[in-house]
Amino acid sequence: MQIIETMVVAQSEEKFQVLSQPLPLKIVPDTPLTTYRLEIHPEIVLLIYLVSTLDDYRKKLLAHVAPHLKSVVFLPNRKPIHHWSEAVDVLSLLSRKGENVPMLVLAELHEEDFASVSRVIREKGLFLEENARLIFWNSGEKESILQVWQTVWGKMMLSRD
Amino acid sequence: MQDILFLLNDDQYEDEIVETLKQGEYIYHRASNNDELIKVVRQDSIDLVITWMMDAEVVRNTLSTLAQHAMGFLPVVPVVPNTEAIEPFLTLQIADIITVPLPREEFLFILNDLIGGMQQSGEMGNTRLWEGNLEEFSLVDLIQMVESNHKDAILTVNYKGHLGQIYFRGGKVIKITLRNLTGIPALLKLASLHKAEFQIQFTRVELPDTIQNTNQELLIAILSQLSDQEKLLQDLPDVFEPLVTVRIPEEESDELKTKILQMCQEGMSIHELLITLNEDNLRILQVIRELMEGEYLIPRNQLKGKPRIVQSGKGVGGLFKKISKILKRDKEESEFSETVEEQPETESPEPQQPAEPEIVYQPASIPVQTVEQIQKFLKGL
Amino acid sequence: MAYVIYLLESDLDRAKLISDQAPGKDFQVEAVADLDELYSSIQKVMPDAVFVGFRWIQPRLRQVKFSKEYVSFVYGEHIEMDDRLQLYRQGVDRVLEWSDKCATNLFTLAKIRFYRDRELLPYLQKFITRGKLNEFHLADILAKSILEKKNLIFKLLDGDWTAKMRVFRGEVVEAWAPPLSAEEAAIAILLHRQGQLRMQSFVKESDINTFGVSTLGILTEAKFQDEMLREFTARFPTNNPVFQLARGISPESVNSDIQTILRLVQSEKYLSRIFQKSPYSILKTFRILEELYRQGKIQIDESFRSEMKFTREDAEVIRQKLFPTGVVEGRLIVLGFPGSGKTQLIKTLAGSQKSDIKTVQSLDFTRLKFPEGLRLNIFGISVDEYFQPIMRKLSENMLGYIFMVDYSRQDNLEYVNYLLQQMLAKYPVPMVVAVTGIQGDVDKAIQSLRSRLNLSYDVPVVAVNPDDFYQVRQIFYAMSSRTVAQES
Repeated sequence: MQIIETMVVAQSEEKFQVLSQPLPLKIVPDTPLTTYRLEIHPEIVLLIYLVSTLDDYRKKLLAHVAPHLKSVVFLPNRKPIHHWSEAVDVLSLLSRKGENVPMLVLAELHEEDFASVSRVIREKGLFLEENARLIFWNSGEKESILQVWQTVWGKMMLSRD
Repeated sequence: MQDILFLLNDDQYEDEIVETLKQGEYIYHRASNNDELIKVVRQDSIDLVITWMMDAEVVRNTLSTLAQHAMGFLPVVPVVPNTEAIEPFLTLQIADIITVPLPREEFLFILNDLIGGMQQSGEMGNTRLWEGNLEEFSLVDLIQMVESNHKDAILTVNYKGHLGQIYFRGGKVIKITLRNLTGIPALLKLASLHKAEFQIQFTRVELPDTIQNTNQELLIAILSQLSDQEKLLQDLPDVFEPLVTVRIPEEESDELKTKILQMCQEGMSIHELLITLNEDNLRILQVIRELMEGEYLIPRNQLKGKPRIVQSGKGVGGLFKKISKILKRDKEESEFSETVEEQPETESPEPQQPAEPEIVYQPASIPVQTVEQIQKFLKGL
Repeated sequence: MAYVIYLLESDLDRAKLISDQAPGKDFQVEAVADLDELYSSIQKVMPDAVFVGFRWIQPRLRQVKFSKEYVSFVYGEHIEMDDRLQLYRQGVDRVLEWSDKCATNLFTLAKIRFYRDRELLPYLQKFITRGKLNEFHLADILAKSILEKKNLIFKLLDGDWTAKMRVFRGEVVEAWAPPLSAEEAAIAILLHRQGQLRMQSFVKESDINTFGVSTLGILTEAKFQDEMLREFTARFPTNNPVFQLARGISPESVNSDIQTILRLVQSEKYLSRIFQKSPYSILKTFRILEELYRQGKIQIDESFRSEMKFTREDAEVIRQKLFPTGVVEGRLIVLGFPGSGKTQLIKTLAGSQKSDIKTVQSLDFTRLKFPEGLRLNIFGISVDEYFQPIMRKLSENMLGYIFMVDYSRQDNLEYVNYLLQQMLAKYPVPMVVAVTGIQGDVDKAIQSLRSRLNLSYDVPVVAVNPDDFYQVRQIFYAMSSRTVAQES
């Protein structure tokens, strides 16, 4: 059995609800980190830890989980990011505990802007650094949302552009 | 999943032993000598040690080695070649003795019975009981565990006969005792123990609630005290290292200092001093520090030869008594002096600490087949 | 005081030879002539040990039984292998080949056994932390070990099932629950609720590999699977239902995974045993069973089906959840607005024990009895203008409460919210919110209600059909506690 752990650092939980809408996620109640579960089949289970606020206790748990993560997704709101301290905290933690963990930064675009992005970049995103990519998405398009998740779980190419 | 460690220095039996244990679903461990034996028992949870065709003297050494490494609790069973060989083992603290050759099935029956018997002796019938040692669980852990059960319970802590008890009603601490100490002073004393036997018994508690504080407040008090203690302990030897009195001041008005010096004449560790004395632990540690700075107390491992307790100035009568006591301990002791010879300071080399083992994490990549299955699933959405 | 030994040896010379070997005054040997006399002597005075000459019991070998209350040795010349094994199966501690030294060895071995049983093992047990799994949950201990970075080895023993797990600095690094290993074993261990738990710390001197999943991930998945199993078994009379193959279904006709599970259903029957023996993870085994049950290929074995009543396991859960130590009687309050299903719930509970229901001024009352003399007095209170003073009075001796909410009545949710928050603040006892009237997606409805009532995840909310005993029974399993500390 494989249990694959992913972290989503979301600037707001509502944004995550939009991003995860097509997925048949089940929330696991009574967990110290908000956790969603997706069962691909009995031998593959995906766990998504949703982080939108951090306190000392959660930071300690993140430190424990970080080396095991298979990917981390940064999900900002559409508005420009100012002082997103949670993202900074998680990045700093990953630099110490999970340096090889693939990271995706999601940038949400309006429908028109999204359509104007070339297909290749829509599918593969932009290279930020080794193990990190910027992925564009449009909340109104189911295909775009699923593209994000396909990238999160395996389609992410780690080669440079 | 019972782990059996064989002390075995002859390879010819190993295959047969391994096959036999496999049949019984036991996990096989091997050591060829006592050093290896200690290494194995430190790294795993061994349920039984079997010495294979070793004579009684070897088994005696093994038992002694285990005891020296605080592993004396492991049951040891010698396997011997014939019934004539049983007698020499009679005086040893062994859990059983098995003669071979034996058919495999019979050997397994005896093992199963032995291990089954050990499991049963750990159960207490209907009494709802947890037992263990503070080495695994701190007092803070135990209080939190009982609290989360929301039940009545009595937590008993026993260190060399010093018996402390914490009473819970519905998970809340209502009474704490240690000898004639009660309440928070008793709690703080108990919390400083690094090792001690504990027992938690879930049973109705009908005592009045004498503790004004919530459990949370008690735990904060413990943590605060432990933090202060840690700071003082930083400059002191290991808590289990016996301290020995080497000098006694001419006049000492501080009662606590006098007590400590008296108790340390035969050697007593900080751990024992903290639990034995009723005074506040921080004060005790402060006093110990002062006594060590004044070179009245030193760790036993720094002694060269026998301790020479000297009282400068008057009171030679007391000195003679102490010296004669020392002389009686060791007949080789032939000289004494009224003044202590200054022990030459030698640099004891710092013991080499083995490197901390690393945790090796799995790579942060998902296997290809798994990726394919996930992609297939997502495409179907 | 001397050890009492009964010696079954009809050959007088041999009997004397053995008796003469008794070391000093430590042993008091009493000879008996035959098996019947041996049993009769044991009934009168329990010995510390029995020494038995094999030839005197050989004709009745299959009927002989040896108790674990005393040590038993059988000796003889050339005892056949099968007979030796049979003796062990019947409780003998040791079978000895008769020789010149045998007489001495009997007493030597007896001495070693007495020392072991009475002194050594009780002493050894003090150094191992151990207790019953149903008193402390392994999941809680494991969760603590994450932050405290502990090194611990756990061993679980439950009858013939044993398992082992190792935690290094808070990371689960090894787990076995044969035939499972790694993550699957770790989850199986966490889902196990009975038996003895032993644990000790350890020192690791070499690098150690972790699993691909964190301890938190394992705990999370175990929690999910626990809830999944609970929901599945809610429909059955017991949490450990007994299955059988449906008529016409044969394991030979299906593919290998399903065939394996069908074979296990045939041989093991009990759900817990199927899980223990399955070569697959609990999740995979469960999914196969769930599908087989849905398809009607396996069904509950009716011969094991009991009436709709609380089982021993149910009673134990109720005792643990509701009754503080030493308390044998108390009140369970069921409250809700009219039409929330409160009265029906009480009827269903009363029906399980054919208890009477009394109604006094819109207050329903019934009583349930459980083993060990436990009595639960159940009061149904309607939330109306007289509710508060009645609640205050009944709250003395209250062990817990069930707050019934009708999901289809969305208009009074604000008041329900207000009342619930009051109850949670005022009465820190085990409780549960039981929701009736849900049509459609139950999970979504519960989520939505939780959000509307501002309920944190530590407040259990379950859907229930108050007519269905099995669902009503599950309410007790869902109950949790709230402590005073959480309120402050």
